[in-house]
Amino acid sequence: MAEFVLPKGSRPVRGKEHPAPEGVKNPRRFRIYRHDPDQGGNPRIDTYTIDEKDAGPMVLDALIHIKNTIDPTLTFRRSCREGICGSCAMAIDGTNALACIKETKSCRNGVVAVYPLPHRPVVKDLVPDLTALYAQYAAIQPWLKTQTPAPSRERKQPPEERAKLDGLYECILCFSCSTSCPSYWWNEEKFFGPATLLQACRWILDSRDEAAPERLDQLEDPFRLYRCHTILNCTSVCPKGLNPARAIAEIKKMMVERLA
Amino acid sequence: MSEKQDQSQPRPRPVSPHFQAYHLPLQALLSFGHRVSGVVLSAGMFVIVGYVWLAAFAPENFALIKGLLATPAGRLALFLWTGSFCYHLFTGLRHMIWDTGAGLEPPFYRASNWVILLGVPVCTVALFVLSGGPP
Repeated sequence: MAEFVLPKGSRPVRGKEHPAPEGVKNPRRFRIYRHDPDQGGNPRIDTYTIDEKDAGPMVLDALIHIKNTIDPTLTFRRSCREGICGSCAMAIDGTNALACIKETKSCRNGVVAVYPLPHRPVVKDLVPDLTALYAQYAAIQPWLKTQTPAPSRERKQPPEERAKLDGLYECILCFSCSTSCPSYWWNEEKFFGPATLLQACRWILDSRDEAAPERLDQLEDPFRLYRCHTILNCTSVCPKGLNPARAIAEIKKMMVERLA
Repeated sequence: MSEKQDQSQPRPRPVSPHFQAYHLPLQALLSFGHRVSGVVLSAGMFVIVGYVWLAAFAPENFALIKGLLATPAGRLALFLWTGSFCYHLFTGLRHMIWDTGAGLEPPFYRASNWVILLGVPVCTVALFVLSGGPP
């Protein structure tokens, strides 16, 4: 059900203000969501002002700079720092993005607001609990399913069939899209969400896969697939430039076509 | 005893901000408006059905409702319904294009946002004026 406000215990309160260092030339303010499970209480918004030239150009560079020099308790996930692992997905400046490829300069109003991915249980600071999303991804059985006996070598796929997977296989499962979707915020137990549906589309379209009818059967459900109302936040945020909305539309089309 | 329970049951985790911290792009706001205009149109349908239903009993009722709709409040309601109709028509047509799998690329939906935002006021005023306002 649509809920527009946060539960009482989840509402962020004003937190600590970390002033700018002495003689700062290019100050840049960061408003960062903090939650410490050991202390409990409401989450808070801490403010840090750093000199832009002390950190690299991306938001992740600034977060690492803050963690190294101002506040070692600041917690976030990161790994590859080049937009391929999907670990540092978070809500930056009101939009889900990968911190490692989101330029600090691109944020509006000179203040960089950094929150965890929206409408998730927060483990600590900028680390959301994504267990439910991984479980939904597992539910679509994201692997090649076949009935025919295995050939002596690999299962072959002509280039034109392989081309159908372009725009689908590149997904890095950062879940920026699913957690940007209002429909997913309100039906996360039942709606599969754009990331998982894009992957479902990837396996349905794979010419080597022989389980497309069963895969479509699984999605034929008022919630799993049809909670998508084409709000398009998924396509707007995807840091890899993919189009989950189109993948979902393709699945909906296949649902109709198989009735004909 | 209570300490043991505390350990076995972890503290509930806060829910991260969603609407509060999210900057909804234009196409998401228009999607929200599609639903609102649908609700407004449903309310308007009750009035139309009531109009016809009451008028079926006596001609005086017909004149009575006509009078009510001619008041400033009635005119405003009719104008808002006309606006909701145009809005729902424009966004609805875009939804039908999307249902074919077309038009889901950012250049199309960003441009069509503005077609809706400019087309709806024009269409609303034109319909309202051409129909002569209230009955």
